[in-house]
Amino acid sequence: MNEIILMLIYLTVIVAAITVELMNFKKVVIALSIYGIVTTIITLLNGELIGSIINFITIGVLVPLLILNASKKVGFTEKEKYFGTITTIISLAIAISVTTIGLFIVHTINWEFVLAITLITIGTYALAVKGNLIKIVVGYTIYDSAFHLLFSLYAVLYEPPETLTLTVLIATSVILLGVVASILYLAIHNYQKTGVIDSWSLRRLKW
Amino acid sequence: MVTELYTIAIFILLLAGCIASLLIRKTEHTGKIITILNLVALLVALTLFYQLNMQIIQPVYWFNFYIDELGTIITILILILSTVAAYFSVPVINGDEKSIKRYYFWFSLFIFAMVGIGISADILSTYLFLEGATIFSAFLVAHDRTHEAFEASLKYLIICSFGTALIIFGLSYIITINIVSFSYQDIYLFLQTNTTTDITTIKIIFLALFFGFGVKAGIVPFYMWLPDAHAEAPAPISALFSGIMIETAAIALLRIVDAFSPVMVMVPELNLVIIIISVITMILGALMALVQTNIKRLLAYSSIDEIGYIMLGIGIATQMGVYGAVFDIINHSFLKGMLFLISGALLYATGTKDMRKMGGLAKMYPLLATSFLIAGLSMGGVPPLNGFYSKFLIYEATFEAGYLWATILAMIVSLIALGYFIKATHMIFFGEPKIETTTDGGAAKKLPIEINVSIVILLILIIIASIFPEFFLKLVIDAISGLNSF
Repeated sequence: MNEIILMLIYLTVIVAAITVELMNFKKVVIALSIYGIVTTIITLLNGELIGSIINFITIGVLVPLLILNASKKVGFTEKEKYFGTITTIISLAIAISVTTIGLFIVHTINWEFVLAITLITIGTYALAVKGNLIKIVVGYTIYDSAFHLLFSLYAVLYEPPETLTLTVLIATSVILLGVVASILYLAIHNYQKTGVIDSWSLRRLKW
Repeated sequence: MVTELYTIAIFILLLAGCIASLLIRKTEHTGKIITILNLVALLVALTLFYQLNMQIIQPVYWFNFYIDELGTIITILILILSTVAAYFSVPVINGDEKSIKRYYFWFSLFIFAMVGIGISADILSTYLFLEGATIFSAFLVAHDRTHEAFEASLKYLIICSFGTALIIFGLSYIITINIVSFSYQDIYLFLQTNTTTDITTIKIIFLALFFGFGVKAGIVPFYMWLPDAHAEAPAPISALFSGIMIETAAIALLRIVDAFSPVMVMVPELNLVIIIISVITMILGALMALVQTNIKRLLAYSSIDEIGYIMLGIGIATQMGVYGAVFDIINHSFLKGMLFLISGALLYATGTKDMRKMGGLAKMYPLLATSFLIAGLSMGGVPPLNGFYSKFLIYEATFEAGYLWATILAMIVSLIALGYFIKATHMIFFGEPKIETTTDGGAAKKLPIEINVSIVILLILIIIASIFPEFFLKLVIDAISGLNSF
């Protein structure tokens, strides 16, 4: 692992942590797009051309566009109960500490896994802590893209047949777009019907 | 070639339903046309199954599908329930033209995706169809467009999508041990020939796949979506969810257990994990069902209970356990399909899902009362009803495999199931009438013919399965013999 990759790993997790914390959805869209571009560069530097193109198209372009379109209908700023500097610090701390522990303290695992597990943690954190459904979609995108990233990086390491990699990446990206579009569709229609976009207020059913 | 043609015919009929639902102008006919299309698809599937069973044609690989007897049995179950559910939907699904079109559009796609899961031959296509089914059915859960329906569908979609992503994690690890394809058959052959492969990696793969598919089956840590989605969806959709969707996920798990069987022989802890989780699942489902007052939530928790039995049979991974599990899938899809349709009929008649507000309905709706009681007793494992035979097979398999504690717990859970069904029957159908279920003339609100016919069809199937269990068991045994290790 060289310094450029190390720098990019930290950049990715920091961008991901900031993306789930930003309050203005225009900024969230830009941050998510940057996240998509950074992960694309990591994949590209590892020599996975197809994976990087698919990653760029889905996470760098299409998902941010879907979120931008959705946030036009529900308003661009987030009104949450729990937010602010403290959650940003927590989120960044999770991101940086998980990465550092994985890379420098536990030597036995490879950096591809560490990167993926950090992003999965950030995504799960967003699901658990964030109320706004658009934020949950952002969290889901980061979470799911971590699995794609892991697969495409492992595909470089272990060289399965090329058609296999291509099929998996295309299939999973289509599913990602489908899920994101469906959640946003349901969230928007729910908002138009009930005026609620915050999942903390969705408490009519017993959990 | 014939086998592929049959499958293509089924797919075309289901997709034709999807297009027809958009094109038909007079929406009052849409439901009937979808019913007919599903019925024709069912007949095609029955012919296919007959020819496979008589060995006139052989199972084949076609794209990523493997069309064998097991897959065809599941396809037949899906199509029986979808035909009945579509027919039931005719009087139940009302509203404006747009919402009816939307309903049947997603309905047809949902059935299509489930048939896909049933016959998928590799993990990737199973994952694709599974997520497809999740997305399509999320729109069906939200069909009523109430606050609760939106919430349930969002919860369902989010939990299932987060869970099934674990399957990609499993796939990433499969390529690390140089398996060149994701098909169940190839994984089985690889594990059988390469016995020196790193066991830890295989454990990781297996557990990732188990929990990834288990989310959709509603096993314990990920069951939360199930009661809400079942309770808020329209009744025919709940019948499909509980009757067959969670079982298709169980079939996917069965195929995974089959593919990993060379390793599972060496690592019995993997079996133990499945057994422990399935026992916890059934206990939780039964105890939660005991305290419910909403009939649909009660039935949903009862499904969690039942998926525990099915998973127990699969987790034992002996021949008898798997026979029991697949036979239980057949029984459960008839029983729970009918029970959810009855809950829909009760909602139609009384306008409520709350059992505390019902009471004394047996006089007005003797058909509903009789069918509910028969299904309830069968779910509780009372002989000589069909639920007893499959449960008995599972007990025996668990006992023979040496898990006495699991056998005893499963029997106790079955008693609890009997308890909550008797309680529910009493609350709904006996005692003093509590609400105005009668029209002005004093007569009960008449149920439309579609509702009665749908329930009677499933009741007849249950009675047939109770009288001739050996016939169904033989079909199951033939189907299972097509798998690698059972």
